[in-house]
Amino acid sequence: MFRDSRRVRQLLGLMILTSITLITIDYRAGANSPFRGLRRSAGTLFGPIERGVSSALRPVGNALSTLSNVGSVDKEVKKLRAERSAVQGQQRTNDDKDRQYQEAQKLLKFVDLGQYRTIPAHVVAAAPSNFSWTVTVDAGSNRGVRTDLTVLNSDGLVGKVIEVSKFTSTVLLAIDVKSSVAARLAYTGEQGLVSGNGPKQLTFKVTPATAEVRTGQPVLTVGSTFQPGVPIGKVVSSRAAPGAPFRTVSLEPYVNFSNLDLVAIVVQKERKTDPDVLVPANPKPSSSPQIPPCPASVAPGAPSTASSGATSSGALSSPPASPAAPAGPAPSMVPCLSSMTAPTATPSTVPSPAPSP
Amino acid sequence: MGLATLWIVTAIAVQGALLSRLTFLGPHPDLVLVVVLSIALYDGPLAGAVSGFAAGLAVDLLSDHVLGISALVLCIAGWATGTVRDYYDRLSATTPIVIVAVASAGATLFLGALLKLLGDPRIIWSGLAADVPRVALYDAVLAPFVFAAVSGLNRRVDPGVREW
Repeated sequence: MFRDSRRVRQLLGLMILTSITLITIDYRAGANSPFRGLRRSAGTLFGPIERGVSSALRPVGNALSTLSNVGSVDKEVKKLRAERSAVQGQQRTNDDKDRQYQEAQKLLKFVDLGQYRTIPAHVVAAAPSNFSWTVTVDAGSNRGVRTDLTVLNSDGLVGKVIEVSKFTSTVLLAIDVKSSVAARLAYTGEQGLVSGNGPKQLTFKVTPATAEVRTGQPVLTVGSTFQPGVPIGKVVSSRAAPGAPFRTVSLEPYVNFSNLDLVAIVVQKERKTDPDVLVPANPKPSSSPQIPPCPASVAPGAPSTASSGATSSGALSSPPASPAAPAGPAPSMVPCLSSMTAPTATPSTVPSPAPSP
Repeated sequence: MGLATLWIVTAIAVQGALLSRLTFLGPHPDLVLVVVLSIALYDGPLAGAVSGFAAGLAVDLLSDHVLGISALVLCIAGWATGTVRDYYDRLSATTPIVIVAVASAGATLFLGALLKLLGDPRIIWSGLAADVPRVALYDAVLAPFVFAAVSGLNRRVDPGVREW
């Protein structure tokens, strides 16, 4: 049963030695590692494969992700039942297309409101390692992606680009322990750093320690490495250790990192907007109109509510699977950012929509 | 050799595109590791070590951690599993599951410890201790299917002796 064990041992030794050499070189060189090019080629090679597998397995992944969200299962079941009575057959396909379409539409409105010029991309893979929080998206240097660009989806900040290959790039998620984002509290403006804790809530260290922090208050990026004004999360709790120069705030991210799909990579901000335009306005009693309820479901094929004032959103286009966004006046430009509830108060108010160019 | 490459590429693609994105599991099942272990169980220590090294290198290149770590861990895991396999004349249905569970726990712990020693801020000992048994469990669940697929296809393509 034992075969040629000397040859096996020699080869094993050789491979272990090679690994250790690679580890040493890569660890010592850090950011200037000679293997960066090799990593890029690996991304270029695997990108298309992962893209294919990802699109084939997307319904499976979506189904599994839905199972995980106990709260949303009920909603999903209701939605599916309604669809079954309305449309016979093809529910699954339609459902997925509908979801993609709505997601694209929501993202269009979002980047339009924030006046960002963006590159759209789909998440095709997550890091194969169990110890890092990165994802691969299907846009690379061929579409003008560079490192350090901010990545967002229609809910808020996703992360930033850390590695670019020909057709794909790697995004470090905001929840990764290595991620650190300069941020400020909405309305009041105290600044600090948001860091990730893996799957747990984000930590926001804000100075001064006496800063007044309310539950539900949004936290946004400030412009340094990241594009300014992207919502990160809302305040859950805060505490200040006695004598500490900062206050430690727990944030619940707006983005659901467990089912990332369509994202937008921000190339630049078109023009200055109200810095808080992407979060609900400060809840003070006012006569502003209330946020109308989101349209429950937009049937594919009736895409009349597509944000066509989206000329300013530059390169962002609908994903191939969704119906093309038509031209013509948009009946509703009111943002429908359901995941961002205004802090504590009713009535919540709407930020005035960005002026159409 | 060609079959092993096919298995590894498939495993990496499915891992990245599906399994690694199922964050609700906590730590995710390590399909690449299960495939390497299955190759080792079918073909012995040499095939295990070589495919472990190759698969690990590919995983390293696609991750953002230090290059060579997964290659080292998977190479040793593949070799050790192949060596253990050679003590059995015939594998029962449950043996691969047990071997994969133990090897997964060992490999995940080894990988986490190496990353921690190289200063990766993402590894916390308590978190690692909680993750290891779960990865082992997930991998054990995958094991019978992956092993059946690997050995089934290999036998069909090459009905004679084992590849190596």
